[in-house]
Amino acid sequence: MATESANGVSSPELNERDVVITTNDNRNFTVKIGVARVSKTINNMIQDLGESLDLSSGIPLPNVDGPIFEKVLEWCEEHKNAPEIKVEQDPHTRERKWFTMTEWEEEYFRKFLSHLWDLAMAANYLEIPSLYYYTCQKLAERIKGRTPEQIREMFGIEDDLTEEEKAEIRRTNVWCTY
Amino acid sequence: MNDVVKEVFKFLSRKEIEKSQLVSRYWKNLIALSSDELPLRSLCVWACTYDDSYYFMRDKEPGCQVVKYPQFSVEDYHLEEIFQNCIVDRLPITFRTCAQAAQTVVNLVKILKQTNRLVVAITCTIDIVERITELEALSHLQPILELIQAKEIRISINDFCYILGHTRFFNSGANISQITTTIGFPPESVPTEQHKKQLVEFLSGSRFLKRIGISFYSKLALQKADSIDILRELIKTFQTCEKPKNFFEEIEFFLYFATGNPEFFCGFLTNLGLELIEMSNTNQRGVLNSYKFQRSDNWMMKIELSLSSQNDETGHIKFFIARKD
Repeated sequence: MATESANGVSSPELNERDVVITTNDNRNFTVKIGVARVSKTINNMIQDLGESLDLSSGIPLPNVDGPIFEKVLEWCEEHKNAPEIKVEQDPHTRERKWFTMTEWEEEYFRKFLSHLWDLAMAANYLEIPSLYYYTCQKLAERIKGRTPEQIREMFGIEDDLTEEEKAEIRRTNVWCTY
Repeated sequence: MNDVVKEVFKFLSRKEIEKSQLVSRYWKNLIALSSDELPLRSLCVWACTYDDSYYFMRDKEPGCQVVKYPQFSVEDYHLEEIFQNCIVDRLPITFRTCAQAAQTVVNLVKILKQTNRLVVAITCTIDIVERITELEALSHLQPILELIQAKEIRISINDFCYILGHTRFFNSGANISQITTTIGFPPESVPTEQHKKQLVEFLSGSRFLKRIGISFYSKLALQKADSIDILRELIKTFQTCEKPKNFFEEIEFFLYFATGNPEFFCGFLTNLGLELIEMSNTNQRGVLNSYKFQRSDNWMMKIELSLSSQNDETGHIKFFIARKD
Protein backbone atom coordinates (compact mmCIF):
# COMPACT_ATOMS: atom_id res chain seq x y z
CA MET A 1 0.00 0.00 0.00
CA ALA A 2 1.42 3.36 -0.99
CA THR A 3 1.90 6.02 1.63
CA GLU A 4 1.62 9.44 0.05
CA SER A 5 2.96 11.91 2.53
CA ALA A 6 4.96 12.62 5.64
CA ASN A 7 4.12 11.41 9.14
CA GLY A 8 2.35 8.37 7.83
CA VAL A 9 -1.02 10.11 7.94
CA SER A 10 -1.71 10.08 4.26
CA SER A 11 -2.87 7.01 2.46
CA PRO A 12 -5.62 6.14 -0.03
CA GLU A 13 -7.76 5.01 2.91
CA LEU A 14 -7.27 8.32 4.65
CA ASN A 15 -8.46 10.14 1.51
CA GLU A 16 -11.83 8.48 1.96
CA ARG A 17 -12.23 9.69 5.53
CA ASP A 18 -14.06 12.90 6.42
CA VAL A 19 -12.54 16.05 7.87
CA VAL A 20 -14.40 19.06 9.23
CA ILE A 21 -13.40 22.45 7.80
CA THR A 22 -14.59 25.64 9.49
CA THR A 23 -14.89 28.86 7.48
CA ASN A 24 -14.63 32.40 8.89
CA ASP A 25 -18.41 32.65 9.34
CA ASN A 26 -18.28 29.58 11.63
CA ARG A 27 -19.85 27.24 9.11
CA ASN A 28 -18.65 23.65 9.31
CA PHE A 29 -18.12 21.60 6.17
CA THR A 30 -17.61 17.86 6.33
CA VAL A 31 -15.36 17.00 3.41
CA LYS A 32 -13.56 13.87 2.18
CA ILE A 33 -9.83 14.35 2.81
CA GLY A 34 -9.09 13.40 -0.81
CA VAL A 35 -11.25 16.30 -1.98
CA ALA A 36 -9.91 18.80 0.56
CA ARG A 37 -6.38 17.99 -0.52
CA VAL A 38 -6.91 19.63 -3.93
CA SER A 39 -6.09 22.69 -1.85
CA LYS A 40 -2.36 22.70 -1.16
CA THR A 41 -2.95 24.89 1.90
CA ILE A 42 -5.30 22.33 3.47
CA ASN A 43 -3.05 19.45 2.36
CA ASN A 44 -0.09 21.11 4.12
CA MET A 45 -2.15 21.52 7.29
CA ILE A 46 -3.10 17.85 7.22
CA GLN A 47 0.52 16.83 6.70
CA ASP A 48 1.83 19.21 9.38
CA LEU A 49 -0.66 17.95 11.94
CA GLY A 50 0.30 14.37 11.17
CA GLU A 51 -1.02 11.81 13.60
CA SER A 52 -2.25 14.55 15.92
CA LEU A 53 -4.84 15.51 13.30
CA ASP A 54 -8.28 15.44 14.93
CA LEU A 55 -10.67 14.94 12.06
CA SER A 56 -13.74 15.98 14.03
CA SER A 57 -12.48 19.19 15.63
CA GLY A 58 -12.09 20.99 12.29
CA ILE A 59 -9.50 22.79 10.23
CA PRO A 60 -10.05 26.55 10.46
CA LEU A 61 -10.05 28.72 7.30
CA PRO A 62 -9.97 32.31 8.58
CA ASN A 63 -9.77 33.90 5.11
CA VAL A 64 -12.68 32.19 3.33
CA ASP A 65 -16.40 32.47 4.00
CA GLY A 66 -18.96 29.69 3.75
CA PRO A 67 -20.72 30.64 0.50
CA ILE A 68 -17.43 30.91 -1.41
CA PHE A 69 -15.97 27.76 0.15
CA GLU A 70 -19.06 25.89 -0.99
CA LYS A 71 -18.27 26.91 -4.58
CA VAL A 72 -14.61 26.04 -4.14
CA LEU A 73 -15.57 22.58 -2.88
CA GLU A 74 -17.60 22.00 -6.02
CA TRP A 75 -14.43 22.64 -8.04
CA CYS A 76 -12.32 20.41 -5.78
CA GLU A 77 -14.78 17.54 -6.08
CA GLU A 78 -14.57 17.69 -9.87
CA HIS A 79 -10.76 18.10 -9.91
CA LYS A 80 -9.69 15.72 -7.14
CA ASN A 81 -7.81 13.45 -9.51
CA ALA A 82 -6.87 16.03 -12.13
CA PRO A 83 -3.21 16.46 -13.05
CA GLU A 84 -1.35 19.65 -12.17
CA ILE A 85 -1.98 22.41 -14.75
CA LYS A 86 0.88 23.80 -16.81
CA VAL A 87 1.15 27.59 -16.74
CA GLU A 88 2.88 28.94 -19.84
CA GLN A 89 3.67 32.36 -21.20
CA ASP A 90 4.92 33.80 -24.46
CA PRO A 91 8.73 33.87 -24.14
CA HIS A 92 8.97 37.35 -25.65
CA THR A 93 5.83 39.29 -24.70
CA ARG A 94 5.36 37.43 -21.37
CA GLU A 95 1.61 37.18 -22.09
CA ARG A 96 0.04 34.14 -20.44
CA LYS A 97 -1.09 31.42 -22.77
CA TRP A 98 -4.82 30.89 -22.37
CA PHE A 99 -6.12 27.58 -21.08
CA THR A 100 -8.70 25.49 -22.86
CA MET A 101 -11.50 24.71 -20.44
CA THR A 102 -13.84 21.76 -20.37
CA GLU A 103 -17.59 22.18 -20.78
CA TRP A 104 -17.97 21.53 -17.01
CA GLU A 105 -15.49 24.30 -16.21
CA GLU A 106 -17.16 26.75 -18.60
CA GLU A 107 -20.52 26.00 -16.99
CA TYR A 108 -19.01 26.39 -13.50
CA PHE A 109 -17.80 29.92 -14.32
CA ARG A 110 -21.08 30.80 -16.05
CA LYS A 111 -22.88 29.81 -12.84
CA PHE A 112 -20.60 31.84 -10.56
CA LEU A 113 -19.89 34.78 -12.88
CA SER A 114 -20.63 37.39 -10.22
CA HIS A 115 -18.25 35.79 -7.72
CA LEU A 116 -15.09 35.58 -9.84
CA TRP A 117 -12.96 37.94 -7.72
CA ASP A 118 -13.91 36.14 -4.49
CA LEU A 119 -13.21 32.78 -6.10
CA ALA A 120 -9.80 33.93 -7.33
CA MET A 121 -8.85 35.25 -3.90
CA ALA A 122 -10.03 32.07 -2.18
CA ALA A 123 -8.18 29.92 -4.73
CA ASN A 124 -5.04 32.00 -4.16
CA TYR A 125 -5.25 31.57 -0.38
CA LEU A 126 -6.13 27.89 -0.59
CA GLU A 127 -3.48 27.29 -3.27
CA ILE A 128 -5.63 25.63 -5.90
CA PRO A 129 -3.70 26.46 -9.09
CA SER A 130 -6.32 25.25 -11.56
CA LEU A 131 -9.12 27.31 -9.97
CA TYR A 132 -6.83 30.29 -9.45
CA TYR A 133 -5.45 30.57 -12.98
CA TYR A 134 -8.71 29.64 -14.69
CA THR A 135 -10.62 32.26 -12.69
CA CYS A 136 -7.99 34.89 -13.51
CA GLN A 137 -8.33 33.98 -17.17
CA LYS A 138 -12.12 34.34 -16.91
CA LEU A 139 -11.69 37.79 -15.34
CA ALA A 140 -9.29 38.76 -18.15
CA GLU A 141 -11.88 37.55 -20.63
CA ARG A 142 -14.43 39.88 -19.02
CA ILE A 143 -12.04 42.85 -19.24
CA LYS A 144 -10.90 42.24 -22.81
CA GLY A 145 -12.53 44.51 -25.37
CA ARG A 146 -14.50 46.52 -22.80
CA THR A 147 -14.09 50.25 -22.13
CA PRO A 148 -12.87 51.47 -18.71
CA GLU A 149 -16.44 52.66 -18.02
CA GLN A 150 -17.89 49.23 -18.78
CA ILE A 151 -15.25 47.53 -16.60
CA ARG A 152 -16.02 49.83 -13.67
CA GLU A 153 -19.73 49.18 -14.01
CA MET A 154 -19.25 45.42 -14.35
CA PHE A 155 -17.06 45.09 -11.24
CA GLY A 156 -18.58 47.95 -9.21
CA ILE A 157 -15.33 49.93 -9.12
CA GLU A 158 -15.39 53.60 -8.16
CA ASP A 159 -14.09 56.09 -10.75
CA ASP A 160 -11.55 57.85 -8.52
CA LEU A 161 -9.23 59.24 -11.22
CA THR A 162 -9.47 62.92 -12.08
CA GLU A 163 -9.85 64.03 -15.70
CA GLU A 164 -6.30 65.43 -15.54
CA GLU A 165 -4.93 62.07 -14.41
CA LYS A 166 -6.75 60.30 -17.23
CA ALA A 167 -5.41 62.81 -19.75
CA GLU A 168 -1.89 62.23 -18.43
CA ILE A 169 -2.27 58.44 -18.81
CA ARG A 170 -3.43 58.93 -22.41
CA ARG A 171 -0.59 61.38 -23.12
CA THR A 172 2.18 59.13 -21.81
CA ASN A 173 0.85 56.04 -23.56
CA VAL A 174 1.83 56.72 -27.14
CA TRP A 175 -0.06 53.72 -28.44
CA CYS A 176 -3.26 54.67 -26.64
CA THR A 177 -6.36 54.39 -28.82
CA TYR A 178 -9.09 54.82 -26.19
CA MET B 1 -5.81 41.29 -3.84
CA ASN B 2 -2.73 42.68 -5.58
CA ASP B 3 -1.59 39.21 -6.62
CA VAL B 4 -4.96 38.33 -8.08
CA VAL B 5 -5.36 41.54 -10.11
CA LYS B 6 -1.77 41.26 -11.33
CA GLU B 7 -2.40 37.68 -12.39
CA VAL B 8 -5.48 38.77 -14.34
CA PHE B 9 -3.41 41.40 -16.15
CA LYS B 10 -0.89 38.74 -17.16
CA PHE B 11 -3.57 37.21 -19.39
CA LEU B 12 -4.08 40.51 -21.20
CA SER B 13 -2.17 42.17 -24.02
CA ARG B 14 -0.25 45.39 -23.31
CA LYS B 15 -2.94 47.32 -25.17
CA GLU B 16 -5.60 46.01 -22.76
CA ILE B 17 -3.34 46.64 -19.75
CA GLU B 18 -2.79 50.28 -20.73
CA LYS B 19 -6.52 50.74 -21.19
CA SER B 20 -7.05 49.24 -17.73
CA GLN B 21 -4.98 52.04 -16.18
CA LEU B 22 -7.99 54.28 -16.74
CA VAL B 23 -10.29 52.12 -14.59
CA SER B 24 -9.17 53.31 -11.14
CA ARG B 25 -6.21 54.73 -9.24
CA TYR B 26 -5.58 51.34 -7.64
CA TRP B 27 -5.36 49.61 -11.03
CA LYS B 28 -3.22 52.43 -12.45
CA ASN B 29 -0.72 52.25 -9.58
CA LEU B 30 -0.61 48.46 -9.61
CA ILE B 31 0.12 48.41 -13.36
CA ALA B 32 2.87 51.01 -12.93
CA LEU B 33 4.44 49.07 -10.04
CA SER B 34 4.21 45.70 -11.81
CA SER B 35 5.49 46.92 -15.15
CA ASP B 36 8.48 44.55 -15.10
CA GLU B 37 6.25 41.49 -14.74
CA LEU B 38 3.35 42.31 -17.04
CA PRO B 39 3.15 41.50 -20.76
CA LEU B 40 4.94 43.66 -23.30
CA ARG B 41 3.74 45.09 -26.57
CA SER B 42 5.08 43.32 -29.60
CA LEU B 43 6.05 45.95 -32.09
CA CYS B 44 6.63 45.65 -35.82
CA VAL B 45 9.10 48.16 -37.16
CA TRP B 46 9.74 48.62 -40.83
CA ALA B 47 11.30 51.23 -43.09
CA CYS B 48 9.26 52.05 -46.12
CA THR B 49 10.50 55.22 -47.74
CA TYR B 50 13.20 54.67 -50.29
CA ASP B 51 15.78 56.79 -48.50
CA ASP B 52 14.88 55.37 -45.09
CA SER B 53 13.87 58.84 -43.94
CA TYR B 54 10.82 57.40 -42.18
CA TYR B 55 10.19 54.31 -40.15
CA PHE B 56 6.78 52.85 -39.52
CA MET B 57 5.81 51.00 -36.38
CA ARG B 58 2.71 49.09 -35.45
CA ASP B 59 1.51 47.02 -32.54
CA LYS B 60 1.20 43.45 -33.81
CA GLU B 61 -2.23 43.15 -32.26
CA PRO B 62 -4.97 43.62 -34.87
CA GLY B 63 -6.64 47.00 -35.13
CA CYS B 64 -3.77 49.06 -33.74
CA GLN B 65 -2.58 52.32 -35.17
CA VAL B 66 0.52 52.77 -37.29
CA VAL B 67 3.05 55.32 -36.12
CA LYS B 68 5.23 57.00 -38.72
CA TYR B 69 8.50 58.22 -37.34
CA PRO B 70 11.42 60.12 -38.86
CA GLN B 71 15.00 58.95 -38.47
CA PHE B 72 15.90 57.84 -35.00
CA SER B 73 18.11 60.06 -32.90
CA VAL B 74 19.60 59.02 -29.57
CA GLU B 75 18.71 62.43 -28.09
CA ASP B 76 15.03 62.02 -28.90
CA TYR B 77 13.45 61.23 -25.54
CA HIS B 78 10.02 60.76 -27.13
CA LEU B 79 11.34 57.47 -28.46
CA GLU B 80 11.62 56.15 -24.93
CA GLU B 81 7.86 56.59 -24.59
CA ILE B 82 7.28 54.87 -27.91
CA PHE B 83 9.34 51.86 -26.96
CA GLN B 84 8.22 51.74 -23.33
CA ASN B 85 7.03 48.24 -22.43
CA CYS B 86 7.63 47.01 -25.95
CA ILE B 87 9.67 44.39 -27.64
CA VAL B 88 10.64 44.88 -31.24
CA ASP B 89 9.58 41.84 -33.10
CA ARG B 90 11.49 42.53 -36.26
CA LEU B 91 14.06 45.17 -36.88
CA PRO B 92 14.85 46.00 -40.49
CA ILE B 93 18.36 46.89 -41.43
CA THR B 94 18.35 48.26 -44.94
CA PHE B 95 21.52 49.21 -46.69
CA ARG B 96 19.98 51.48 -49.29
CA THR B 97 21.76 54.66 -48.48
CA CYS B 98 24.35 52.65 -46.73
CA ALA B 99 26.11 54.78 -44.15
CA GLN B 100 23.09 56.89 -43.27
CA ALA B 101 20.75 53.96 -42.86
CA ALA B 102 23.27 52.01 -40.87
CA GLN B 103 23.71 54.93 -38.48
CA THR B 104 19.94 55.16 -38.09
CA VAL B 105 19.70 51.55 -37.08
CA VAL B 106 22.69 51.82 -34.75
CA ASN B 107 20.92 54.76 -33.08
CA LEU B 108 17.72 52.79 -32.74
CA VAL B 109 19.50 49.80 -31.25
CA LYS B 110 21.30 52.12 -28.79
CA ILE B 111 17.97 53.59 -27.71
CA LEU B 112 16.55 50.13 -27.19
CA LYS B 113 19.56 49.15 -25.12
CA GLN B 114 19.47 52.35 -23.04
CA THR B 115 15.94 51.68 -21.85
CA ASN B 116 16.16 48.79 -19.44
CA ARG B 117 12.49 48.03 -19.70
CA LEU B 118 12.86 46.99 -23.30
CA VAL B 119 13.65 43.67 -24.81
CA VAL B 120 15.67 44.18 -27.93
CA ALA B 121 14.77 42.91 -31.37
CA ILE B 122 14.47 39.24 -31.94
CA THR B 123 14.54 39.22 -35.69
CA CYS B 124 16.86 41.12 -37.91
CA THR B 125 16.23 41.64 -41.60
CA ILE B 126 19.00 42.63 -43.92
CA ASP B 127 18.07 43.80 -47.36
CA ILE B 128 21.08 45.01 -49.29
CA VAL B 129 19.47 46.67 -52.28
CA GLU B 130 22.30 48.83 -53.42
CA ARG B 131 25.47 46.97 -54.33
CA ILE B 132 28.14 48.17 -52.05
CA THR B 133 31.55 46.78 -51.43
CA GLU B 134 31.90 43.86 -49.13
CA LEU B 135 33.97 45.84 -46.69
CA GLU B 136 31.43 48.65 -46.61
CA ALA B 137 28.61 46.25 -45.83
CA LEU B 138 30.58 44.48 -43.16
CA SER B 139 31.76 47.67 -41.52
CA HIS B 140 28.14 48.71 -41.03
CA LEU B 141 26.84 45.30 -40.15
CA GLN B 142 29.36 44.56 -37.42
CA PRO B 143 28.36 47.28 -34.91
CA ILE B 144 24.71 46.36 -35.37
CA LEU B 145 25.30 42.68 -34.80
CA GLU B 146 27.35 43.51 -31.74
CA LEU B 147 24.61 45.71 -30.28
CA ILE B 148 21.61 43.66 -31.11
CA GLN B 149 20.27 40.67 -29.17
CA ALA B 150 18.49 39.22 -32.16
CA LYS B 151 18.43 35.47 -32.32
CA GLU B 152 17.75 35.21 -36.00
CA ILE B 153 19.06 36.92 -39.06
CA ARG B 154 17.18 36.86 -42.37
CA ILE B 155 19.26 37.50 -45.37
CA SER B 156 19.25 36.87 -49.12
CA ILE B 157 21.51 34.13 -50.42
CA ASN B 158 23.66 36.68 -52.23
CA ASP B 159 24.18 38.72 -49.13
CA PHE B 160 24.69 35.56 -47.17
CA CYS B 161 27.40 34.58 -49.63
CA TYR B 162 28.76 38.09 -49.17
CA ILE B 163 29.47 37.50 -45.54
CA LEU B 164 30.32 33.82 -45.77
CA GLY B 165 34.00 34.51 -45.70
CA HIS B 166 33.60 36.67 -42.61
CA THR B 167 31.90 34.43 -40.10
CA ARG B 168 33.91 36.04 -37.33
CA PHE B 169 31.12 38.63 -37.17
CA PHE B 170 28.77 36.02 -35.79
CA ASN B 171 31.36 35.11 -33.19
CA SER B 172 31.97 38.61 -31.92
CA GLY B 173 29.30 39.56 -29.43
CA ALA B 174 26.30 38.72 -31.57
CA ASN B 175 23.76 36.26 -30.26
CA ILE B 176 22.61 35.05 -33.63
CA SER B 177 21.92 31.35 -33.49
CA GLN B 178 19.82 31.06 -36.57
CA ILE B 179 20.19 32.19 -40.15
CA THR B 180 17.34 32.18 -42.61
CA THR B 181 18.39 32.80 -46.15
CA THR B 182 16.49 32.98 -49.42
CA ILE B 183 17.25 31.98 -52.93
CA GLY B 184 15.03 34.21 -55.03
CA PHE B 185 14.66 34.55 -58.77
CA PRO B 186 17.62 33.83 -61.00
CA PRO B 187 19.94 34.89 -62.37
CA GLU B 188 21.01 37.49 -59.80
CA SER B 189 20.39 35.23 -56.82
CA VAL B 190 22.27 32.20 -57.98
CA PRO B 191 25.31 31.56 -55.85
CA THR B 192 28.54 31.06 -57.68
CA GLU B 193 30.67 27.90 -57.46
CA GLN B 194 32.87 29.65 -54.94
CA HIS B 195 29.85 30.58 -52.84
CA LYS B 196 28.52 27.02 -52.90
CA LYS B 197 31.85 25.76 -51.60
CA GLN B 198 31.82 28.44 -48.91
CA LEU B 199 28.27 27.58 -47.97
CA VAL B 200 29.14 23.94 -47.39
CA GLU B 201 32.24 24.90 -45.43
CA PHE B 202 30.15 27.28 -43.37
CA LEU B 203 27.51 24.64 -42.65
CA SER B 204 30.06 22.11 -41.54
CA GLY B 205 32.38 24.36 -39.60
CA SER B 206 30.22 26.60 -37.49
CA ARG B 207 30.36 26.04 -33.76
CA PHE B 208 28.01 28.79 -32.74
CA LEU B 209 25.14 28.74 -35.21
CA LYS B 210 22.66 25.96 -34.53
CA ARG B 211 20.11 26.32 -37.27
CA ILE B 212 19.93 27.51 -40.85
CA GLY B 213 16.91 27.77 -43.09
CA ILE B 214 17.32 28.10 -46.84
CA SER B 215 14.31 29.12 -48.94
CA PHE B 216 13.74 28.58 -52.62
CA TYR B 217 10.98 30.86 -53.87
CA SER B 218 10.64 29.26 -57.29
CA LYS B 219 11.31 25.96 -58.94
CA LEU B 220 13.50 27.81 -61.41
CA ALA B 221 15.54 29.24 -58.57
CA LEU B 222 15.92 25.77 -57.16
CA GLN B 223 17.16 24.40 -60.47
CA LYS B 224 19.41 27.34 -61.29
CA ALA B 225 20.91 27.31 -57.88
CA ASP B 226 21.99 23.75 -58.46
CA SER B 227 20.69 23.03 -55.03
CA ILE B 228 21.01 19.32 -55.57
CA ASP B 229 24.73 19.92 -55.85
CA ILE B 230 24.62 21.87 -52.63
CA LEU B 231 22.77 19.08 -50.89
CA ARG B 232 25.06 16.43 -52.34
CA GLU B 233 28.09 18.40 -51.14
CA LEU B 234 26.47 18.86 -47.78
CA ILE B 235 25.89 15.15 -47.28
CA LYS B 236 29.33 14.25 -48.59
CA THR B 237 30.92 16.74 -46.23
CA PHE B 238 28.97 15.34 -43.30
CA GLN B 239 30.02 11.80 -44.19
CA THR B 240 33.69 12.64 -44.45
CA CYS B 241 34.29 15.54 -42.06
CA GLU B 242 36.47 15.06 -38.98
CA LYS B 243 34.21 16.87 -36.53
CA PRO B 244 30.55 16.16 -37.28
CA LYS B 245 29.60 17.80 -33.99
CA ASN B 246 30.50 21.15 -35.58
CA PHE B 247 27.79 20.66 -38.17
CA PHE B 248 24.57 22.65 -37.86
CA GLU B 249 22.13 20.75 -35.69
CA GLU B 250 19.29 21.60 -38.00
CA ILE B 251 19.26 22.62 -41.64
CA GLU B 252 15.94 23.33 -43.25
CA PHE B 253 15.20 23.90 -46.93
CA PHE B 254 11.87 25.60 -47.64
CA LEU B 255 10.29 25.07 -51.03
CA TYR B 256 7.55 27.58 -51.81
CA PHE B 257 6.00 26.07 -54.88
CA ALA B 258 4.02 23.13 -56.22
CA THR B 259 5.04 20.61 -53.64
CA GLY B 260 1.69 18.86 -53.61
CA ASN B 261 3.43 16.30 -55.71
CA PRO B 262 5.19 13.77 -53.48
CA GLU B 263 7.01 12.23 -56.44
CA PHE B 264 8.94 15.47 -56.78
CA PHE B 265 10.24 15.10 -53.26
CA CYS B 266 11.14 11.47 -53.68
CA GLY B 267 12.88 12.18 -56.98
CA PHE B 268 14.73 15.02 -55.35
CA LEU B 269 16.38 12.77 -52.80
CA THR B 270 16.79 9.83 -55.16
CA ASN B 271 18.87 12.16 -57.31
CA LEU B 272 21.12 12.64 -54.33
CA GLY B 273 21.87 8.94 -54.34
CA LEU B 274 20.83 8.52 -50.74
CA GLU B 275 20.60 5.09 -49.26
CA LEU B 276 17.22 4.76 -47.67
CA ILE B 277 17.30 3.30 -44.17
CA GLU B 278 13.86 4.17 -42.98
CA MET B 279 10.84 5.62 -44.69
CA SER B 280 7.42 6.54 -43.45
CA ASN B 281 4.45 7.82 -45.41
CA THR B 282 1.74 9.94 -43.88
CA ASN B 283 -0.42 10.65 -46.88
CA GLN B 284 0.87 14.08 -47.84
CA ARG B 285 0.33 15.55 -44.41
CA GLY B 286 2.99 16.18 -41.85
CA VAL B 287 6.13 14.18 -42.43
CA LEU B 288 5.99 12.68 -45.88
CA ASN B 289 9.13 10.65 -46.02
CA SER B 290 11.98 10.30 -43.62
CA TYR B 291 15.49 9.15 -44.48
CA LYS B 292 18.29 8.40 -42.10
CA PHE B 293 21.88 7.50 -42.57
CA GLN B 294 24.74 7.35 -40.16
CA ARG B 295 28.50 7.37 -40.03
CA SER B 296 30.63 4.65 -38.56
CA ASP B 297 31.19 6.80 -35.44
CA ASN B 298 27.41 6.80 -34.85
CA TRP B 299 26.85 10.39 -35.96
CA MET B 300 23.63 10.41 -37.88
CA MET B 301 21.90 12.68 -40.36
CA LYS B 302 18.15 12.43 -40.56
CA ILE B 303 16.37 13.95 -43.52
CA GLU B 304 12.67 14.67 -43.42
CA LEU B 305 10.42 15.70 -46.25
CA SER B 306 7.25 17.33 -45.09
CA LEU B 307 4.27 19.31 -46.23
CA SER B 308 2.62 21.85 -43.97
CA SER B 309 -0.89 20.73 -44.92
CA GLN B 310 -2.73 19.02 -47.72
CA ASN B 311 -3.49 22.25 -49.56
CA ASP B 312 -0.34 24.08 -48.66
CA GLU B 313 2.24 24.33 -51.37
CA THR B 314 5.04 24.86 -48.91
CA GLY B 315 7.36 21.94 -48.48
CA HIS B 316 10.26 21.45 -46.14
CA ILE B 317 13.36 19.35 -46.30
CA LYS B 318 14.93 19.18 -42.88
CA PHE B 319 18.32 17.78 -41.99
CA PHE B 320 18.86 16.90 -38.36
CA ILE B 321 22.33 16.05 -37.18
CA ALA B 322 22.60 13.96 -34.05
CA ARG B 323 24.76 11.31 -32.46
CA LYS B 324 23.04 7.97 -32.11
CA ASP B 325 23.89 6.53 -28.71
